[in-house]
Amino acid sequence: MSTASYTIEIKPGGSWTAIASGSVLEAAGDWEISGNRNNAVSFGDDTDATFSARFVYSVWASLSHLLPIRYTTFNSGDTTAKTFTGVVETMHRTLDDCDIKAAGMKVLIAATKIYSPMFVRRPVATRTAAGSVEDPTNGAYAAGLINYALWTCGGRPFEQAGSYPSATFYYSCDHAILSPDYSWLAGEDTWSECLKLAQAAGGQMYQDGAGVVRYKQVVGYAGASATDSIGMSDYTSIEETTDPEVLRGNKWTCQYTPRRRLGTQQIADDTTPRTVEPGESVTIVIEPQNPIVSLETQSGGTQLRPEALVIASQDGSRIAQGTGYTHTLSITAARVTVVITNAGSRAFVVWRVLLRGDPVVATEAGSASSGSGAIERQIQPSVYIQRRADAERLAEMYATFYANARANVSVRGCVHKPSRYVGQTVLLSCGPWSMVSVPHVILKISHGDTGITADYELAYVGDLPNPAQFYIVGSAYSAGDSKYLGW
Amino acid sequence: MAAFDTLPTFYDSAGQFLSKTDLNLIRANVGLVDRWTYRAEAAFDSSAGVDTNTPGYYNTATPMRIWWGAARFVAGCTTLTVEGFGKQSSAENIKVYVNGTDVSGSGTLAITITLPTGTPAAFSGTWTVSGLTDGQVVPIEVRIEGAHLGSASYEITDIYFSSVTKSGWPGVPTFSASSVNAANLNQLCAATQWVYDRMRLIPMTPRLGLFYNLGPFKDPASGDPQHTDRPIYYGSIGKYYSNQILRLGGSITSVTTTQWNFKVYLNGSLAYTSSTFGIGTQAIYVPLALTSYTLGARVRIAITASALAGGTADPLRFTRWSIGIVRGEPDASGWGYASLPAAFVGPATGTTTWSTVVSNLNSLATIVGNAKSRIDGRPELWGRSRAMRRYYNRDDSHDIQQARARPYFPRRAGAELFVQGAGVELDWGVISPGTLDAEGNGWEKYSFGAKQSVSDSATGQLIYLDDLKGLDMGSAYAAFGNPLYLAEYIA
Repeated sequence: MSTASYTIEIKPGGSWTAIASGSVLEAAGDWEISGNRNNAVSFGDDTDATFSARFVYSVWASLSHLLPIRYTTFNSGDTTAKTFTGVVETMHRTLDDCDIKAAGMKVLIAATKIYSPMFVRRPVATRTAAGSVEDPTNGAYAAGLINYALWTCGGRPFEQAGSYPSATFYYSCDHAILSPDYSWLAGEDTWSECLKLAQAAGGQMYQDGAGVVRYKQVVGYAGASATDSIGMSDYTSIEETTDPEVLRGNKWTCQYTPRRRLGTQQIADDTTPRTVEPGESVTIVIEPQNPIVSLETQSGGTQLRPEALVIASQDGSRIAQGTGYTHTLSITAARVTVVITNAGSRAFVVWRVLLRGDPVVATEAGSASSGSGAIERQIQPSVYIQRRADAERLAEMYATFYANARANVSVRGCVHKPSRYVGQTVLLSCGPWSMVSVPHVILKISHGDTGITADYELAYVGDLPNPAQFYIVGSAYSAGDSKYLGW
Repeated sequence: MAAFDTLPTFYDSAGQFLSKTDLNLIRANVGLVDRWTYRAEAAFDSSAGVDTNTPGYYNTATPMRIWWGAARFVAGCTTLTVEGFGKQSSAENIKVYVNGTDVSGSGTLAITITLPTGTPAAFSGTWTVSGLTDGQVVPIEVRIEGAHLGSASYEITDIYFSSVTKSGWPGVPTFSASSVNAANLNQLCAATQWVYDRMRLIPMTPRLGLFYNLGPFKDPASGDPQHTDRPIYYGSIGKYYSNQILRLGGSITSVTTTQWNFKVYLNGSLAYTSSTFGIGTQAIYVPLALTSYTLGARVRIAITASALAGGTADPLRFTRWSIGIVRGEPDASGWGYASLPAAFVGPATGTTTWSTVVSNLNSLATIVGNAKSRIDGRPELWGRSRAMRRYYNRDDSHDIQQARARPYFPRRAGAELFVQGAGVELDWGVISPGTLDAEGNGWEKYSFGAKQSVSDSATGQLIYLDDLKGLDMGSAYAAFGNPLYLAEYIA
């Protein structure tokens, strides 16, 4: 008989602090892929990771909304500690105790508004590794927009966890197959944007049982080496459901909307007068009508050109750049922030901010199809599908992945094994169904507060393409090898 | 949408699939840069009919403008060259002004050319450029200064900035079974991009398409010399490919002249005499071999027309000459485009043997390398930013002069069009001739079915031609208004 224990930590400041076990009255949680459950391996799926706990009342003072929290379970039968990492979403107290409901990091990510620079022809996600450059301030930065978003939200690469012991959460990414011509973040729901990016690239975003936020290419499910098995002796019941009405189609059509970079032109003309007293600053935020690839600047991009700012003393005399004021610039694709500081001894008025840059505009949309058959489906349009070749690629992938209805399997009453995680491929066996070590991906894990038993939802992935069947860039092959080129 | 797509980037040790979409994108771009190295260049205009200051029919005022136009400076060019052919008829010489206004002689005197005496011969002059910035449109004016005869002959055969170059050629990779890696794939992409960027440095300028120019109509018996071998067009064409021909295309309308023909002279030698035509509209589409001319050289073109029989109509009317095409084209064997390897296929089609992948990638690399060599081997085309001529003029009747010859692209080949000039409008689509009045006037009031003004043409604007509905690749279009310079760019 295995035994279980757990640790709950919160991060009110820069480091994680454990809540004493004597202060914890109850704890429970689950993880599931749930963003788009009409097909078990849908592109763009995400996870709902939830955790709830009840504490003694004294813990209340340490709690706050969106407070990072993590929950680590230990099982003597599986010594790998696994952690839920998320943020406090709901707080509740009585006279005697308090309780919280926490959700996965996607809540924090969604709430973090990000304005990114324009990413040009960059994979939507790039593989994280021990040596990958993930810090956007690094001059060699060339990571994907999903990496950028996760880093900006406080995440740090899981593969570099040793360098970031106090990270709010960790993330790990596959290399995405899609590189939109232009992609950017403009203060939207960041998690939602990440899902859109994932969906357009045939990938999924989820937070695994270890709390790691992952971008994963769905094609990887089939090829994952599965050493973990779930056999008949591991569960008390098993059910399988195949619903042909779920997302399935023989012929897929994908729309695309090309984006085009225009030449340098006026992108904003703000003529609101702003008076700035000596020593004070004014922050002017300008959001161009169209996102920009570049802004016309000088001094290595740190300064606007002199004609961009019209500033005059209150007597009307023009103040030249560099004589009576200083300014700083923050340039992103969808927002330019100019902070102008009065460095003189008299008030002045900022009369005009005239910005020039290279905007990106949408052009005439088109569509591409793949497959044939009676069941025709339209792929949800995405702003990140910007060229016909990418639309064809995605349509082909849908025709491959969604040609058949996919069965969902529920197994209940398993011994809880903390090392299992959502997105993991396991080998499922069921004698009466003549199923022997068939690869399935874990879609959902639920376990009780004791951490002894767990239920799983699984999806069959044995028919999906296996990465081993494909040529991989940088790998050496023999002349006679015969494999697939990717989509 | 641009034809040349942004190339992919490859990463080792990232689990990146070798994607048929990415490889086909490279393949498509390689095909484009290969095909774009075969450029059907328009003729360089010198002059046109008898009212345009053309050989044998010059205004004797001095100084007198015989050519004006503009060229777009490309960073790195050091020289402006003006080339011509002719001789001194009296005491005149040629002076070239740059960066002036529309006022004759207002620019900086950059070149003085002493004309040959005795036998007509080639002449040229150069200016070491200074003070120009990349992309700047530089007005150029060529004047005759000094007494000269109306019967003089000067042909301006070429004006260009040189030498356009580009550094940083990455070379092409060699793929093997063990080296289809990010370094080699990215190098192939970089090489393809380099060739594309290199070719984008060379603008594709239009010539002035002739619309309803005045041709001969009187019977030779009248004794009027204007109606025999009457000048229609003078220009030059570069011979830049071994199988290149000169193509002339247009239509001629004769209202009253019962017999007429035209001749084409290349480097002063009669190369073609047309059939004799009569009343009505006659389409022409004439291929002229350039076999005997040196690769890289420019060949002078002269088109003259004669009325062989004037007919009995009263009054007689000018024949009207519309010549939209004077340009280099391949002969019947076509351009020597490379044969691309078969398109890469994805999982829906089946697997691909590794040797095929390697072989096809090497084929693409070879094509890119050959394209680069082709560019290097023809600096007369790929090393020069060529000027285009502004409208012909003999007097102040500029409106009509412009109407008779507009910047004209008989086959759209570029994705972008740079425009600079006053009140420029692009016109394309169905051409409707003007309605003639009782005196037979109104030829200049022709119109096109579609038009689009260029709002910022005064300071220069880049037009994305796909935005103009119906103006698809291969379509003809003209520039109205007062354009100083236009050039298509591949994209």
